[in-house]
Amino acid sequence: MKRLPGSEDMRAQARKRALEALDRRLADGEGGSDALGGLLSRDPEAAVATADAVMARVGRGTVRGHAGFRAAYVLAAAAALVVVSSLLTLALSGGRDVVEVHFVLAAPEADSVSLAADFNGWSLDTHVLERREDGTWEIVVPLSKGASYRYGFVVDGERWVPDPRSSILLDDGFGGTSSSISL
Amino acid sequence: MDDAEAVRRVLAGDDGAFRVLVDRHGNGLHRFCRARLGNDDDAEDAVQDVLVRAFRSLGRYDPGRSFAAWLFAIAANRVKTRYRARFMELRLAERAQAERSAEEPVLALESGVEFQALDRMAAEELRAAVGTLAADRRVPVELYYFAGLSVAETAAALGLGTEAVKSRLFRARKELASILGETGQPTEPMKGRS
Repeated sequence: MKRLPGSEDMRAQARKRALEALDRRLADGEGGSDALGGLLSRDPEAAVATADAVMARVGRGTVRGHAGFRAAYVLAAAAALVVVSSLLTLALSGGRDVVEVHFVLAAPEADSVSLAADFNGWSLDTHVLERREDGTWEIVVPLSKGASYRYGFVVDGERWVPDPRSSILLDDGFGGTSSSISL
Repeated sequence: MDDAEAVRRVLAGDDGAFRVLVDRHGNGLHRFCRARLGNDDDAEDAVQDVLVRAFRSLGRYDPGRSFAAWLFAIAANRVKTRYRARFMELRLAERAQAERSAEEPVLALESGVEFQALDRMAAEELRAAVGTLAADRRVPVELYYFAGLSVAETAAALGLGTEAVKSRLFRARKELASILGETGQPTEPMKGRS
């Protein structure tokens, strides 16, 4: 059996190895390179597991019904976005049986915001909000009077956000809450 | 199937074609994320997060651009926003880990084990050294060296010109040589050899 040199010398060898890896990358030129792949190796089983998880999640991109809503509800390990506020306004259409409801969510760091609700089968694709220049997202939805509706916002296709300004929050049966409006 | 063709197929409804992109870019993404986050589990989570976001944003990808550059622009932003608070403590942890690794005696039964231990230590030293760079040099280093992007792709991902990227990489390489070279030289004869 052989013992390696003392710690200082080992560290010196490690640093030399690190510099050699950088030189190998430079030797590959200005194009792409995998020169550091040998030094910065990745567990192949973890790589496959991650790839499988990605494919499973993208395969759930379109959700239908309440079970689909459950698939869209993900507990974020780290809050990536700051949801400041939302504003719900009603434009009474006077005399008609339909009310145009204006849903707005302030989420300046979001890439996409969808409105998922019981009136669209909890779909992430049916009511996609549009981004405004000030970083808020909005959509106007005509809804019938005389009914109550449950809804929430889905940010970046994976984070469920109930309306923080809604005075009515209901247990959605999956450990979270959804908002409700009555017209 | 190249990246542009894979994206075309995904947008046409073939979600399975996204696996081509996942497999092709996953390792580079992992090296990039691992450089920031300090451990493999967090890096794998970040890789998954970035790829899912990329899938959901594919409609906004410009096929005239390098897909790698577009993908790593997402990665740079996501890692920064999600893990900003951890970065400073991780830099200290990296150095501590490098110290501990250097102090552990290693009994090598075969040369392969020696080199694996040395490679792990070299990786830790490299990450720690890169972590001390200023952000305007660190990110190009992470993209060019760790992720293996070309100069042009690195520039595109960062919204910079290629000459600016080359300049930063050149200065960063000098700085890393100083960090990794000047403090590691033994000042006394090696000890402990049998």
